[in-house]
Amino acid sequence: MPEPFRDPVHNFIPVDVQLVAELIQTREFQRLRRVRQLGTSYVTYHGAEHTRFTHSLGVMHVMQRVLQHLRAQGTEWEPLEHDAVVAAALLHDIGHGPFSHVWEHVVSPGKRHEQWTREIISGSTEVNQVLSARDAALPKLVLAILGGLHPTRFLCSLVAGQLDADRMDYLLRDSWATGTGYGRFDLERVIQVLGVRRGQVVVHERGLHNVEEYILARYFMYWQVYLHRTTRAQEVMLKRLLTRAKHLLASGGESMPCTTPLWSFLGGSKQSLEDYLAVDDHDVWFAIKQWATAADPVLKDLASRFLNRRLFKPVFRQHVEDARFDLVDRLKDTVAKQGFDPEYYLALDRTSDVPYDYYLAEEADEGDRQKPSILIVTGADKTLEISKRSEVINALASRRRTGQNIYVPDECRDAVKTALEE
Amino acid sequence: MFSDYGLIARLVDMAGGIDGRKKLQKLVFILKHVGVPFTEDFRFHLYGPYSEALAAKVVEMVELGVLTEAKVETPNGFPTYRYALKPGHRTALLDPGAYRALDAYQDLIEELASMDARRLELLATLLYLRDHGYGVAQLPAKVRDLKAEQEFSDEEIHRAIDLMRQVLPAAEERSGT
Repeated sequence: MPEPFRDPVHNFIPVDVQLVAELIQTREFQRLRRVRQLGTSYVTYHGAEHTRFTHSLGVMHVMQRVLQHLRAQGTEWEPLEHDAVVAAALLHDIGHGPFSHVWEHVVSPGKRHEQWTREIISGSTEVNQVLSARDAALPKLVLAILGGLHPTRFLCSLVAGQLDADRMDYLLRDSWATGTGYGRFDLERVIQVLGVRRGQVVVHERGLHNVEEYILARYFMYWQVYLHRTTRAQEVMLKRLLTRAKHLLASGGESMPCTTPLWSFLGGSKQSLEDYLAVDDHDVWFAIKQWATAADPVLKDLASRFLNRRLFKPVFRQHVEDARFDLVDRLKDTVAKQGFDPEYYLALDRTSDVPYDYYLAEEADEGDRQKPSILIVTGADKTLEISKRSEVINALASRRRTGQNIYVPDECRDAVKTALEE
Repeated sequence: MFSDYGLIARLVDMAGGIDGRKKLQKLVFILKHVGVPFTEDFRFHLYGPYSEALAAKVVEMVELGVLTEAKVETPNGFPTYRYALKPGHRTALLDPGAYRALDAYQDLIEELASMDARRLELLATLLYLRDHGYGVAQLPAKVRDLKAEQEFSDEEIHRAIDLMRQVLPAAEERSGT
């Protein structure tokens, strides 16, 4: 069995299960060392260099801690289910590609990381071999848990739910890596107050304030880190850059130096799982460095801006009452008159574009219930949604906040501001 | 730039308005399945496939004055939200191409929009299961497993499977046998 992993968030992550040790050693899992967890956040928080590998280990560790606690409380599940949910925690992000959100929207639209995850777990991979060697039914069981389709529902929700191991680790880890305090909460205490009632994860009322802290952590991390305007500016630029690269490849008009695996995706040819597993952050960085000396002026400019942190600027955070869609044409004209192609140099970014969320209490009407809530168990063994018990959460979680920014190069900013004010 | 808003707005318009957030979610999920280029990701929760991004976009669209949202009561007396295109809104401005992407689906949209949320949830669940490799023969048992609290009858499940095959053959082809 390997030595425990020394971890900046959890101190030590022991690996005392053979299945886990073998999964970690697979090439598909080792690839996660080469995929950053927070994509473009490094331009805002220079410490945000951690990888999906470290996060995945952390999720596995938190899951094991939670399961240990629930078992001590008397909750039961089958041994194979145990292996499956721990493996699911470890492998939940295995299908992510480089700069995942941008990748899924631009490079490989229509195929999300969840689908790649399913292929990795069920396909001709080292991961599948390891799982199948443990039990032939294990890959399918892991997929059922990841897909939310296993009948032991609380196990599914511990992987992906409102109080899941994934969020618990990434809030703490992203907070540590970025140097911000927003994501900190008392993990040990939250674990201690978890329980299972009627097949659902619940929180004992004595832990209400600890879960409030966790929900606040989600809220502040969302608005201050994941939705940070600088980070979003770098992401919209990357989207435009990769879109330009795809366009040039499709039109055949530009020699596009990049690695072979990345080429197969940008060029739109049939993409195998092998191709996908061959791509990581390094392929994208190598390509961008090459493109910074390209003949195509747009590709060259966008690549240079991305490499050298010459970010698009937010014109303003648009108040929703001000929004007028008929302004779009005027903004396009304005940007064009400044000498920039609006197809690549004008971007709108919205809260709905951010692949994170924070806790929202849904209205409890039976007709429209969409997703599980965080449930509190009172002393009288009654369960209720947390905002019914917590004034803090009720204030925070009753309404979805939205926002949007328009991004343009700094050179266009004044002209666009003037156009918007007219 | 607003192609995703355009698709959602056009759907609401073609459906003649949509009662219920769950119904809207399931309509988008099902139409995405047959090839309408909705971009929102869905995850399976207790009540079937759900998209956080779609929920956020609908709120944005209400705040931006593209959609109206009115609280109404269902026939059973439960509160729900009715979504409609705001009168006078020039939806085509959002993205003409996206706007036309739904033209071929008028009949399907009307049929789906006439179903209640329960039937749509069942249909969406079946499609989700097919996506995740469950064979048709496995679907009834799996639905009863996952949706025990909904107490779907055998007749409901088999009718939904028939509908899935008749109305959504493209989706079935993609899922295999």
